[in-house]
Amino acid sequence: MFSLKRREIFRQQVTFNIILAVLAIVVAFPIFWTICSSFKTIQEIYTLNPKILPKSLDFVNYKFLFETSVIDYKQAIINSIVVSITTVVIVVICSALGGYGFSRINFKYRDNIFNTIVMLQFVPLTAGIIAQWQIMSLLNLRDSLIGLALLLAAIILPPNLVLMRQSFLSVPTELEDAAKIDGASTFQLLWHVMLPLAGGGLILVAVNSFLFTWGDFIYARTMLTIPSKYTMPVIITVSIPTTPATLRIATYGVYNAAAMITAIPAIIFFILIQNRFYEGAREGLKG
Amino acid sequence: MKSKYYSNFIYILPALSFILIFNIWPIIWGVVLAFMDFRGVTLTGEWVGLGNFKELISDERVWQGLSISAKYVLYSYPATQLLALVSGWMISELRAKTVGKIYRVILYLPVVIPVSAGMTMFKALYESSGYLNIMLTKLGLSPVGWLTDPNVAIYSLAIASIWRNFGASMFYYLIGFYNVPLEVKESALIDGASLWTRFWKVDLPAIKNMLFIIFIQSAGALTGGLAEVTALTAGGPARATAILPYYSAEISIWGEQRLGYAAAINLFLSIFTLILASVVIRLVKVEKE
Repeated sequence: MFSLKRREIFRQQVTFNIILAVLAIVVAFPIFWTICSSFKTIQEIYTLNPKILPKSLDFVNYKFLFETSVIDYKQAIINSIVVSITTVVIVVICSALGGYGFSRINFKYRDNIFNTIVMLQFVPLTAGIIAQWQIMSLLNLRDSLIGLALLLAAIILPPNLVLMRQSFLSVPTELEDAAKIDGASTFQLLWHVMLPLAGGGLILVAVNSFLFTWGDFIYARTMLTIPSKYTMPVIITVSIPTTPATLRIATYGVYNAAAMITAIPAIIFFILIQNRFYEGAREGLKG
Repeated sequence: MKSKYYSNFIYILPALSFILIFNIWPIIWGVVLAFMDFRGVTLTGEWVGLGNFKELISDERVWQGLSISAKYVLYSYPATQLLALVSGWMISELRAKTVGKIYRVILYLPVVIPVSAGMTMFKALYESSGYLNIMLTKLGLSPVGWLTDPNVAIYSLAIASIWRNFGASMFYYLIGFYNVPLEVKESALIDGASLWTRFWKVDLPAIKNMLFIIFIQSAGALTGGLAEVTALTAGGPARATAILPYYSAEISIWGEQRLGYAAAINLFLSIFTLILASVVIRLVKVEKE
Protein backbone atom coordinates (compact mmCIF):
# COMPACT_ATOMS: atom_id res chain seq x y z
CA MET A 1 0.00 0.00 0.00
CA PHE A 2 2.68 2.42 1.11
CA SER A 3 5.01 1.54 -1.73
CA LEU A 4 2.20 1.97 -4.21
CA LYS A 5 1.68 5.47 -2.91
CA ARG A 6 5.36 6.26 -3.20
CA ARG A 7 5.44 5.04 -6.75
CA GLU A 8 2.45 7.21 -7.53
CA ILE A 9 4.12 10.25 -6.04
CA PHE A 10 7.28 9.47 -7.99
CA ARG A 11 5.34 9.22 -11.22
CA GLN A 12 3.57 12.49 -10.50
CA GLN A 13 6.86 14.25 -9.76
CA VAL A 14 8.36 13.00 -13.02
CA THR A 15 5.31 14.17 -15.00
CA PHE A 16 5.41 17.63 -13.41
CA ASN A 17 9.11 17.92 -14.07
CA ILE A 18 8.71 17.00 -17.71
CA ILE A 19 5.87 19.47 -18.27
CA LEU A 20 7.71 22.27 -16.46
CA ALA A 21 10.95 21.52 -18.30
CA VAL A 22 9.20 21.74 -21.67
CA LEU A 23 7.53 24.99 -20.62
CA ALA A 24 10.83 26.41 -19.38
CA ILE A 25 12.53 25.52 -22.67
CA VAL A 26 9.76 27.19 -24.68
CA VAL A 27 9.90 30.30 -22.49
CA ALA A 28 13.69 30.50 -22.54
CA PHE A 29 13.97 29.84 -26.28
CA PRO A 30 13.43 33.42 -27.54
CA ILE A 31 16.01 34.65 -25.04
CA PHE A 32 18.52 31.94 -25.91
CA TRP A 33 17.92 32.43 -29.63
CA THR A 34 18.56 36.15 -29.26
CA ILE A 35 21.82 35.64 -27.37
CA CYS A 36 23.01 33.25 -30.08
CA SER A 37 21.84 35.44 -32.96
CA SER A 38 23.61 38.46 -31.52
CA PHE A 39 26.89 36.68 -32.31
CA LYS A 40 25.94 35.68 -35.84
CA THR A 41 27.05 37.22 -39.11
CA ILE A 42 24.64 37.93 -41.94
CA GLN A 43 25.50 34.64 -43.62
CA GLU A 44 24.55 32.74 -40.49
CA ILE A 45 21.29 34.64 -40.01
CA TYR A 46 19.95 34.61 -43.54
CA THR A 47 20.30 30.97 -44.43
CA LEU A 48 17.82 28.22 -45.08
CA ASN A 49 19.55 25.99 -42.57
CA PRO A 50 19.96 28.17 -39.50
CA LYS A 51 21.91 26.66 -36.63
CA ILE A 52 20.90 27.64 -33.15
CA LEU A 53 24.46 28.11 -31.93
CA PRO A 54 26.68 30.69 -33.65
CA LYS A 55 29.85 29.45 -35.40
CA SER A 56 32.02 31.51 -33.13
CA LEU A 57 31.71 34.27 -30.58
CA ASP A 58 31.82 36.97 -33.22
CA PHE A 59 31.22 40.41 -31.70
CA VAL A 60 30.58 41.96 -35.10
CA ASN A 61 27.06 43.11 -34.19
CA TYR A 62 28.17 44.62 -30.91
CA LYS A 63 31.05 46.38 -32.68
CA PHE A 64 28.62 47.85 -35.18
CA LEU A 65 26.43 49.05 -32.34
CA PHE A 66 29.20 50.91 -30.61
CA GLU A 67 31.49 51.95 -33.45
CA THR A 68 29.73 52.24 -36.79
CA SER A 69 26.08 52.86 -36.12
CA VAL A 70 24.76 56.38 -36.58
CA ILE A 71 22.37 55.70 -33.73
CA ASP A 72 24.11 56.57 -30.49
CA TYR A 73 23.76 53.43 -28.37
CA LYS A 74 26.51 54.51 -26.00
CA GLN A 75 24.56 57.64 -25.13
CA ALA A 76 21.41 55.56 -24.67
CA ILE A 77 23.16 53.30 -22.17
CA ILE A 78 24.37 56.34 -20.24
CA ASN A 79 20.85 57.82 -20.35
CA SER A 80 19.36 54.60 -19.04
CA ILE A 81 21.87 54.50 -16.20
CA VAL A 82 21.22 58.16 -15.28
CA VAL A 83 17.45 57.66 -15.18
CA SER A 84 17.70 54.38 -13.28
CA ILE A 85 20.10 55.62 -10.61
CA THR A 86 18.11 58.83 -10.04
CA THR A 87 14.86 56.93 -9.70
CA VAL A 88 16.30 54.27 -7.41
CA VAL A 89 17.81 56.90 -5.09
CA ILE A 90 14.53 58.84 -4.90
CA VAL A 91 12.41 55.74 -4.37
CA VAL A 92 14.72 54.29 -1.72
CA ILE A 93 14.79 57.53 0.29
CA CYS A 94 11.08 58.27 -0.08
CA SER A 95 9.91 54.77 0.70
CA ALA A 96 12.24 54.41 3.71
CA LEU A 97 10.92 57.66 5.19
CA GLY A 98 7.34 57.11 4.05
CA GLY A 99 7.17 53.46 5.06
CA TYR A 100 8.36 54.46 8.52
CA GLY A 101 5.84 57.27 8.70
CA PHE A 102 2.96 55.04 7.67
CA SER A 103 3.91 52.22 10.02
CA ARG A 104 5.13 53.86 13.21
CA ILE A 105 4.05 57.47 13.41
CA ASN A 106 0.60 58.76 14.12
CA PHE A 107 -0.85 61.70 12.30
CA LYS A 108 -4.21 62.79 11.06
CA TYR A 109 -5.68 60.93 8.06
CA ARG A 110 -2.72 58.57 8.01
CA ASP A 111 -4.76 55.52 7.10
CA ASN A 112 -6.88 57.39 4.57
CA ILE A 113 -3.77 58.59 2.79
CA PHE A 114 -2.23 55.15 2.89
CA ASN A 115 -5.35 53.49 1.51
CA THR A 116 -5.46 55.98 -1.34
CA ILE A 117 -1.87 55.12 -2.18
CA VAL A 118 -2.73 51.42 -2.14
CA MET A 119 -5.62 52.06 -4.53
CA LEU A 120 -3.36 53.97 -6.94
CA GLN A 121 -1.66 50.70 -7.88
CA PHE A 122 -4.86 49.53 -9.54
CA VAL A 123 -5.42 52.61 -11.68
CA PRO A 124 -4.50 51.69 -15.27
CA LEU A 125 -1.61 53.48 -16.96
CA THR A 126 -3.92 54.83 -19.64
CA ALA A 127 -5.94 56.83 -17.09
CA GLY A 128 -3.09 59.23 -16.41
CA ILE A 129 -0.68 59.15 -19.29
CA ILE A 130 -2.19 61.93 -21.43
CA ALA A 131 -2.33 64.33 -18.48
CA GLN A 132 1.11 63.20 -17.33
CA TRP A 133 2.49 64.10 -20.73
CA GLN A 134 0.91 67.52 -20.51
CA ILE A 135 2.00 68.16 -16.94
CA MET A 136 5.54 67.10 -17.80
CA SER A 137 5.46 69.59 -20.67
CA LEU A 138 4.18 72.39 -18.47
CA LEU A 139 6.85 71.71 -15.84
CA ASN A 140 9.46 71.69 -18.60
CA LEU A 141 10.37 68.14 -17.67
CA ARG A 142 9.66 66.51 -21.01
CA ASP A 143 12.81 65.52 -22.88
CA SER A 144 14.65 65.66 -19.59
CA LEU A 145 16.19 62.52 -18.12
CA ILE A 146 15.82 63.79 -14.56
CA GLY A 147 12.21 64.70 -15.32
CA LEU A 148 11.56 61.17 -16.54
CA ALA A 149 13.22 59.83 -13.39
CA LEU A 150 10.92 61.95 -11.19
CA LEU A 151 7.86 60.69 -13.04
CA LEU A 152 8.96 57.05 -12.86
CA ALA A 153 9.71 57.41 -9.16
CA ALA A 154 6.18 58.63 -8.54
CA ILE A 155 4.74 55.75 -10.57
CA ILE A 156 6.68 53.04 -8.74
CA LEU A 157 6.47 54.58 -5.24
CA PRO A 158 3.04 53.20 -4.20
CA PRO A 159 3.92 49.47 -4.25
CA ASN A 160 7.27 50.20 -2.65
CA LEU A 161 5.71 52.25 0.14
CA VAL A 162 3.40 49.34 0.87
CA LEU A 163 6.40 47.01 0.93
CA MET A 164 8.46 49.21 3.28
CA ARG A 165 5.53 49.76 5.59
CA GLN A 166 5.19 45.99 5.82
CA SER A 167 8.91 45.58 6.56
CA PHE A 168 8.77 48.16 9.35
CA LEU A 169 5.65 46.61 10.84
CA SER A 170 7.50 43.32 11.20
CA VAL A 171 10.17 44.91 13.45
CA PRO A 172 9.27 44.24 17.11
CA THR A 173 8.30 47.40 19.02
CA GLU A 174 10.32 46.48 22.13
CA LEU A 175 13.53 47.55 20.43
CA GLU A 176 12.10 50.95 19.71
CA ASP A 177 10.80 51.33 23.25
CA ALA A 178 14.25 50.61 24.60
CA ALA A 179 15.81 53.23 22.34
CA LYS A 180 13.09 55.72 23.23
CA ILE A 181 13.90 55.32 26.90
CA ASP A 182 17.50 56.14 26.01
CA GLY A 183 16.16 59.41 24.61
CA ALA A 184 16.47 58.79 20.89
CA SER A 185 14.55 61.07 18.52
CA THR A 186 12.19 59.57 15.94
CA PHE A 187 14.73 60.14 13.20
CA GLN A 188 17.48 58.50 15.22
CA LEU A 189 15.13 55.59 15.78
CA LEU A 190 14.63 55.25 12.06
CA TRP A 191 18.31 55.55 11.21
CA HIS A 192 19.90 53.47 13.98
CA VAL A 193 17.22 50.95 14.91
CA MET A 194 14.63 50.49 12.22
CA LEU A 195 16.62 50.74 8.98
CA PRO A 196 19.26 48.17 9.96
CA LEU A 197 16.47 45.75 10.82
CA ALA A 198 14.33 46.45 7.77
CA GLY A 199 17.25 46.65 5.36
CA GLY A 200 16.10 43.56 3.47
CA GLY A 201 12.96 45.34 2.45
CA LEU A 202 14.99 48.30 1.26
CA ILE A 203 17.15 46.08 -0.98
CA LEU A 204 13.98 44.71 -2.52
CA VAL A 205 12.71 48.27 -3.03
CA ALA A 206 15.95 49.21 -4.78
CA VAL A 207 15.89 46.20 -7.08
CA ASN A 208 12.18 46.57 -7.82
CA SER A 209 12.56 50.16 -8.80
CA PHE A 210 15.70 49.47 -10.81
CA LEU A 211 14.00 46.71 -12.80
CA PHE A 212 11.01 48.95 -13.42
CA THR A 213 13.03 51.98 -14.49
CA TRP A 214 15.62 50.15 -16.53
CA GLY A 215 12.86 48.35 -18.38
CA ASP A 216 10.43 51.23 -18.70
CA PHE A 217 9.44 51.61 -22.30
CA ILE A 218 6.11 53.36 -22.48
CA TYR A 219 6.87 56.40 -20.30
CA ALA A 220 10.26 56.93 -21.90
CA ARG A 221 8.78 56.48 -25.36
CA THR A 222 6.13 59.05 -24.45
CA MET A 223 8.16 61.69 -22.65
CA LEU A 224 11.40 61.63 -24.65
CA THR A 225 11.30 62.93 -28.22
CA ILE A 226 14.92 63.96 -28.80
CA PRO A 227 16.98 60.95 -30.00
CA SER A 228 19.97 61.98 -27.91
CA LYS A 229 17.81 61.54 -24.79
CA TYR A 230 16.53 58.06 -25.69
CA THR A 231 17.03 55.30 -23.17
CA MET A 232 17.97 51.76 -24.23
CA PRO A 233 14.42 50.34 -24.26
CA VAL A 234 13.35 53.16 -26.60
CA ILE A 235 16.35 53.15 -28.89
CA ILE A 236 16.17 49.43 -29.62
CA THR A 237 12.79 49.95 -31.28
CA VAL A 238 14.23 52.57 -33.62
CA SER A 239 15.10 51.14 -37.02
CA ILE A 240 18.76 50.69 -37.81
CA PRO A 241 20.11 52.08 -41.05
CA THR A 242 22.75 49.62 -42.19
CA THR A 243 25.08 50.71 -44.94
CA PRO A 244 26.62 48.68 -47.75
CA ALA A 245 29.94 49.11 -45.99
CA THR A 246 28.77 46.75 -43.29
CA LEU A 247 27.84 43.79 -45.43
CA ARG A 248 28.85 41.31 -42.80
CA ILE A 249 26.00 42.18 -40.52
CA ALA A 250 22.26 41.70 -40.66
CA THR A 251 19.82 44.21 -39.23
CA TYR A 252 18.41 41.53 -36.96
CA GLY A 253 21.81 40.66 -35.63
CA VAL A 254 22.16 44.26 -34.47
CA TYR A 255 18.63 44.28 -33.06
CA ASN A 256 19.42 41.13 -31.14
CA ALA A 257 22.66 42.54 -29.77
CA ALA A 258 20.86 45.71 -28.65
CA ALA A 259 18.06 43.68 -27.07
CA MET A 260 20.62 41.62 -25.16
CA ILE A 261 22.43 44.70 -23.85
CA THR A 262 19.06 45.94 -22.58
CA ALA A 263 18.02 42.61 -21.12
CA ILE A 264 21.25 41.44 -19.46
CA PRO A 265 21.38 43.90 -16.51
CA ALA A 266 17.76 43.10 -15.63
CA ILE A 267 18.38 39.34 -15.88
CA ILE A 268 21.48 39.52 -13.70
CA PHE A 269 19.84 41.68 -11.02
CA PHE A 270 16.83 39.42 -10.91
CA ILE A 271 18.85 36.21 -10.62
CA LEU A 272 20.91 37.76 -7.80
CA ILE A 273 17.84 38.56 -5.72
CA GLN A 274 15.39 35.89 -6.90
CA ASN A 275 15.42 34.01 -3.62
CA ARG A 276 14.79 37.09 -1.52
CA PHE A 277 12.16 38.15 -4.07
CA TYR A 278 10.12 34.97 -3.73
CA GLU A 279 10.69 34.31 -0.05
CA GLY A 280 10.03 37.95 0.86
CA ALA A 281 6.73 37.88 -1.02
CA ARG A 282 5.89 34.58 0.64
CA GLU A 283 6.32 36.16 4.06
CA GLY A 284 4.61 39.40 3.11
CA LEU A 285 1.50 37.79 1.63
CA LYS A 286 1.01 35.24 4.38
CA GLY A 287 -2.35 34.95 6.08
CA MET B 1 1.54 69.38 20.57
CA LYS B 2 0.20 70.70 17.33
CA SER B 3 3.63 71.37 15.86
CA LYS B 4 4.61 67.84 16.81
CA TYR B 5 1.69 66.72 14.74
CA TYR B 6 2.98 68.41 11.62
CA SER B 7 6.56 67.35 12.17
CA ASN B 8 5.31 63.76 12.17
CA PHE B 9 3.81 64.39 8.78
CA ILE B 10 7.27 65.16 7.45
CA TYR B 11 8.21 61.49 6.99
CA ILE B 12 5.61 60.90 4.34
CA LEU B 13 5.95 64.33 2.76
CA PRO B 14 8.60 63.48 0.11
CA ALA B 15 6.77 60.40 -1.11
CA LEU B 16 3.42 62.13 -0.95
CA SER B 17 4.54 65.15 -2.95
CA PHE B 18 5.86 62.94 -5.77
CA ILE B 19 2.66 60.94 -5.80
CA LEU B 20 0.48 64.05 -5.72
CA ILE B 21 2.24 65.80 -8.58
CA PHE B 22 2.89 62.93 -10.98
CA ASN B 23 0.25 60.41 -10.02
CA ILE B 24 -2.88 61.83 -8.44
CA TRP B 25 -2.97 65.20 -10.19
CA PRO B 26 -2.69 63.58 -13.67
CA ILE B 27 -5.52 61.16 -12.89
CA ILE B 28 -7.83 63.99 -11.81
CA TRP B 29 -6.65 66.27 -14.60
CA GLY B 30 -7.25 63.46 -17.08
CA VAL B 31 -10.93 63.47 -16.16
CA VAL B 32 -11.16 67.26 -16.56
CA LEU B 33 -9.32 67.13 -19.90
CA ALA B 34 -11.91 64.75 -21.27
CA PHE B 35 -14.42 67.60 -21.28
CA MET B 36 -12.12 70.05 -23.03
CA ASP B 37 -10.72 70.63 -26.45
CA PHE B 38 -7.05 70.75 -25.66
CA ARG B 39 -4.37 70.68 -28.30
CA GLY B 40 -0.65 70.84 -27.87
CA VAL B 41 1.00 71.84 -24.66
CA THR B 42 -0.26 75.38 -24.42
CA LEU B 43 -2.42 76.25 -21.48
CA THR B 44 -5.40 77.27 -23.58
CA GLY B 45 -8.08 74.68 -23.65
CA GLU B 46 -11.71 75.19 -24.40
CA TRP B 47 -14.68 73.65 -22.63
CA VAL B 48 -16.64 71.47 -24.99
CA GLY B 49 -18.83 69.67 -22.47
CA LEU B 50 -19.76 66.30 -23.84
CA GLY B 51 -18.44 67.17 -27.29
CA ASN B 52 -15.56 64.71 -27.15
CA PHE B 53 -17.85 61.91 -26.12
CA LYS B 54 -20.29 62.73 -28.90
CA GLU B 55 -17.42 62.57 -31.34
CA LEU B 56 -16.02 59.31 -30.06
CA ILE B 57 -19.35 57.53 -30.30
CA SER B 58 -19.38 58.14 -34.02
CA ASP B 59 -15.64 57.56 -34.48
CA GLU B 60 -15.35 54.14 -36.04
CA ARG B 61 -11.67 53.89 -35.03
CA VAL B 62 -12.75 53.96 -31.39
CA TRP B 63 -15.06 50.99 -31.89
CA GLN B 64 -12.48 49.26 -34.01
CA GLY B 65 -9.93 49.84 -31.23
CA LEU B 66 -12.31 48.54 -28.59
CA SER B 67 -13.01 45.38 -30.53
CA ILE B 68 -9.30 44.80 -31.15
CA SER B 69 -8.68 45.33 -27.42
CA ALA B 70 -11.39 42.79 -26.68
CA LYS B 71 -9.83 40.30 -29.09
CA TYR B 72 -6.42 40.90 -27.56
CA VAL B 73 -7.78 40.16 -24.07
CA LEU B 74 -9.75 37.14 -25.28
CA TYR B 75 -6.76 35.58 -27.02
CA SER B 76 -4.18 36.31 -24.36
CA TYR B 77 -5.74 36.67 -20.89
CA PRO B 78 -7.37 33.24 -20.33
CA ALA B 79 -4.33 31.42 -21.70
CA THR B 80 -2.01 33.57 -19.58
CA GLN B 81 -3.95 32.79 -16.42
CA LEU B 82 -4.34 29.09 -17.14
CA LEU B 83 -0.66 28.68 -17.90
CA ALA B 84 0.23 30.68 -14.79
CA LEU B 85 -2.12 28.71 -12.55
CA VAL B 86 -0.97 25.30 -13.73
CA SER B 87 2.74 26.09 -13.72
CA GLY B 88 2.51 27.83 -10.34
CA TRP B 89 0.71 24.86 -8.87
CA MET B 90 3.15 22.33 -10.32
CA ILE B 91 6.15 24.23 -9.03
CA SER B 92 4.62 24.42 -5.56
CA GLU B 93 4.06 20.64 -5.63
CA LEU B 94 7.66 19.80 -6.54
CA ARG B 95 9.57 17.88 -3.88
CA ALA B 96 12.97 18.95 -5.16
CA LYS B 97 13.02 22.57 -4.01
CA THR B 98 16.16 23.55 -5.92
CA VAL B 99 14.63 22.38 -9.19
CA GLY B 100 11.53 24.38 -8.36
CA LYS B 101 13.69 27.45 -7.86
CA ILE B 102 15.22 27.03 -11.32
CA TYR B 103 11.79 26.82 -12.94
CA ARG B 104 10.41 29.80 -11.08
CA VAL B 105 13.39 31.92 -12.17
CA ILE B 106 13.20 30.92 -15.85
CA LEU B 107 9.43 31.37 -16.07
CA TYR B 108 9.72 34.83 -14.51
CA LEU B 109 12.53 36.04 -16.79
CA PRO B 110 10.23 37.44 -19.52
CA VAL B 111 8.68 39.70 -16.88
CA VAL B 112 11.99 41.26 -15.83
CA ILE B 113 13.34 41.57 -19.35
CA PRO B 114 12.42 45.06 -20.61
CA VAL B 115 9.26 44.75 -22.67
CA SER B 116 10.78 46.34 -25.75
CA ALA B 117 13.71 43.91 -25.62
CA GLY B 118 11.32 40.98 -25.33
CA MET B 119 9.26 42.22 -28.25
CA THR B 120 12.42 42.74 -30.31
CA MET B 121 13.22 39.07 -29.70
CA PHE B 122 9.81 38.12 -31.05
CA LYS B 123 10.15 40.49 -33.99
CA ALA B 124 13.25 38.60 -35.07
CA LEU B 125 11.51 35.23 -34.67
CA TYR B 126 8.43 36.49 -36.53
CA GLU B 127 10.41 37.97 -39.42
CA SER B 128 9.28 36.68 -42.84
CA SER B 129 12.55 34.77 -43.27
CA GLY B 130 12.92 34.28 -39.53
CA TYR B 131 13.40 31.10 -37.56
CA LEU B 132 9.71 30.27 -37.13
CA ASN B 133 8.99 30.41 -40.85
CA ILE B 134 12.09 28.41 -41.72
CA MET B 135 10.96 25.73 -39.28
CA LEU B 136 7.46 25.76 -40.80
CA THR B 137 8.90 25.37 -44.29
CA LYS B 138 11.04 22.49 -43.11
CA LEU B 139 7.95 20.78 -41.73
CA GLY B 140 6.38 21.14 -45.16
CA LEU B 141 4.02 23.93 -44.14
CA SER B 142 3.70 27.29 -45.81
CA PRO B 143 5.30 30.27 -44.08
CA VAL B 144 3.08 32.60 -42.10
CA GLY B 145 3.07 36.40 -42.28
CA TRP B 146 3.33 36.71 -38.50
CA LEU B 147 3.48 40.48 -38.48
CA THR B 148 2.49 41.25 -42.06
CA ASP B 149 -0.82 39.40 -42.41
CA PRO B 150 -3.64 41.44 -40.80
CA ASN B 151 -5.52 38.25 -39.94
CA VAL B 152 -2.55 36.72 -38.14
CA ALA B 153 -0.90 39.68 -36.41
CA ILE B 154 -3.33 39.78 -33.48
CA TYR B 155 -2.46 36.14 -32.67
CA SER B 156 1.25 36.84 -32.96
CA LEU B 157 0.74 39.74 -30.56
CA ALA B 158 -1.23 37.53 -28.17
CA ILE B 159 1.49 34.86 -28.17
CA ALA B 160 4.20 37.41 -27.42
CA SER B 161 1.99 38.93 -24.73
CA ILE B 162 1.36 35.56 -23.06
CA TRP B 163 5.09 34.88 -23.10
CA ARG B 164 5.80 38.24 -21.52
CA ASN B 165 3.04 38.34 -18.90
CA PHE B 166 2.22 34.88 -17.57
CA GLY B 167 5.21 34.83 -15.23
CA ALA B 168 3.83 37.77 -13.27
CA SER B 169 0.58 35.90 -12.57
CA MET B 170 2.44 32.66 -11.92
CA PHE B 171 4.31 34.51 -9.19
CA TYR B 172 1.05 35.30 -7.35
CA TYR B 173 -0.39 31.80 -7.76
CA LEU B 174 2.88 30.27 -6.63
CA ILE B 175 3.00 32.41 -3.49
CA GLY B 176 -0.64 31.52 -2.82
CA PHE B 177 0.03 27.79 -3.15
CA TYR B 178 3.21 28.01 -1.07
CA ASN B 179 1.14 29.50 1.72
CA VAL B 180 -1.51 26.77 1.78
CA PRO B 181 -1.14 25.55 5.38
CA LEU B 182 0.92 22.37 5.54
CA GLU B 183 -1.59 20.65 7.82
CA VAL B 184 -4.31 21.07 5.22
CA LYS B 185 -2.11 19.54 2.54
CA GLU B 186 -0.98 16.66 4.72
CA SER B 187 -4.41 15.72 5.97
CA ALA B 188 -5.55 15.48 2.37
CA LEU B 189 -2.55 13.29 1.59
CA ILE B 190 -3.30 10.97 4.51
CA ASP B 191 -6.91 10.73 3.42
CA GLY B 192 -5.53 9.36 0.19
CA ALA B 193 -7.01 12.11 -1.95
CA SER B 194 -5.86 11.88 -5.54
CA LEU B 195 -3.82 14.64 -7.08
CA TRP B 196 -6.81 15.85 -9.06
CA THR B 197 -9.07 15.96 -6.00
CA ARG B 198 -6.43 17.78 -4.03
CA PHE B 199 -6.11 20.42 -6.71
CA TRP B 200 -9.87 21.08 -6.83
CA LYS B 201 -10.77 20.52 -3.19
CA VAL B 202 -7.72 21.75 -1.28
CA ASP B 203 -5.35 23.93 -3.25
CA LEU B 204 -7.74 25.90 -5.43
CA PRO B 205 -10.16 26.83 -2.59
CA ALA B 206 -7.16 27.91 -0.54
CA ILE B 207 -6.35 30.64 -3.05
CA LYS B 208 -9.92 31.62 -3.85
CA ASN B 209 -9.45 35.24 -2.81
CA MET B 210 -6.64 35.48 -5.29
CA LEU B 211 -8.78 33.90 -8.01
CA PHE B 212 -11.46 36.45 -7.25
CA ILE B 213 -9.02 39.30 -7.83
CA ILE B 214 -7.79 37.70 -11.06
CA PHE B 215 -11.35 37.47 -12.36
CA ILE B 216 -11.98 41.13 -11.62
CA GLN B 217 -8.69 42.10 -13.23
CA SER B 218 -9.74 40.36 -16.44
CA ALA B 219 -11.86 43.43 -17.16
CA GLY B 220 -8.90 45.69 -16.43
CA ALA B 221 -6.85 43.79 -19.01
CA LEU B 222 -8.81 45.75 -21.64
CA THR B 223 -6.75 48.84 -20.80
CA GLY B 224 -3.47 46.93 -21.22
CA GLY B 225 -1.19 46.02 -24.08
CA LEU B 226 0.03 49.50 -25.00
CA ALA B 227 3.73 48.69 -24.53
CA GLU B 228 3.53 45.36 -26.33
CA VAL B 229 1.69 46.84 -29.31
CA THR B 230 3.96 49.87 -29.55
CA ALA B 231 7.12 47.79 -29.45
CA LEU B 232 6.00 44.83 -31.57
CA THR B 233 3.59 46.01 -34.26
CA ALA B 234 3.00 49.76 -33.88
CA GLY B 235 -0.66 49.02 -34.45
CA GLY B 236 -0.10 47.44 -37.85
CA PRO B 237 -0.44 45.81 -40.26
CA ALA B 238 -3.39 47.77 -41.62
CA ARG B 239 -4.44 48.73 -38.05
CA ALA B 240 -5.04 45.07 -37.22
CA THR B 241 -3.46 45.45 -33.78
CA ALA B 242 -4.43 49.06 -33.04
CA ILE B 243 -5.93 48.46 -29.60
CA LEU B 244 -7.87 51.37 -28.10
CA PRO B 245 -5.09 52.62 -25.78
CA TYR B 246 -2.79 52.70 -28.80
CA TYR B 247 -5.27 54.74 -30.82
CA SER B 248 -5.61 57.28 -28.03
CA ALA B 249 -1.83 57.65 -27.72
CA GLU B 250 -1.54 57.88 -31.49
CA ILE B 251 -3.92 60.82 -31.85
CA SER B 252 -2.48 62.70 -28.90
CA ILE B 253 1.09 62.21 -27.74
CA TRP B 254 2.53 60.71 -30.90
CA GLY B 255 0.36 62.51 -33.40
CA GLU B 256 -1.88 65.51 -33.78
CA GLN B 257 -1.85 66.24 -30.02
CA ARG B 258 -5.60 66.07 -29.49
CA LEU B 259 -5.15 65.69 -25.74
CA GLY B 260 -8.75 66.35 -24.72
CA TYR B 261 -10.15 63.85 -27.18
CA ALA B 262 -7.60 61.21 -26.21
CA ALA B 263 -8.37 61.76 -22.52
CA ALA B 264 -12.06 61.30 -23.32
CA ILE B 265 -11.29 58.00 -25.05
CA ASN B 266 -9.32 56.82 -22.05
CA LEU B 267 -12.06 57.89 -19.65
CA PHE B 268 -14.60 56.09 -21.82
CA LEU B 269 -12.41 52.97 -21.67
CA SER B 270 -12.03 53.25 -17.89
CA ILE B 271 -15.78 53.57 -17.37
CA PHE B 272 -16.43 50.71 -19.76
CA THR B 273 -13.91 48.62 -17.82
CA LEU B 274 -15.48 49.51 -14.47
CA ILE B 275 -18.94 48.51 -15.70
CA LEU B 276 -17.54 45.27 -17.04
CA ALA B 277 -15.72 44.63 -13.75
CA SER B 278 -18.90 45.12 -11.74
CA VAL B 279 -20.67 42.65 -14.02
CA VAL B 280 -17.84 40.17 -13.46
CA ILE B 281 -18.04 40.71 -9.70
CA ARG B 282 -21.77 40.05 -9.77
CA LEU B 283 -21.28 36.89 -11.83
CA VAL B 284 -18.58 35.58 -9.52
CA LYS B 285 -20.76 36.30 -6.49
CA VAL B 286 -23.70 34.43 -8.01
CA GLU B 287 -21.35 31.56 -8.74
CA LYS B 288 -20.17 31.55 -5.14
CA GLU B 289 -23.65 31.27 -3.68
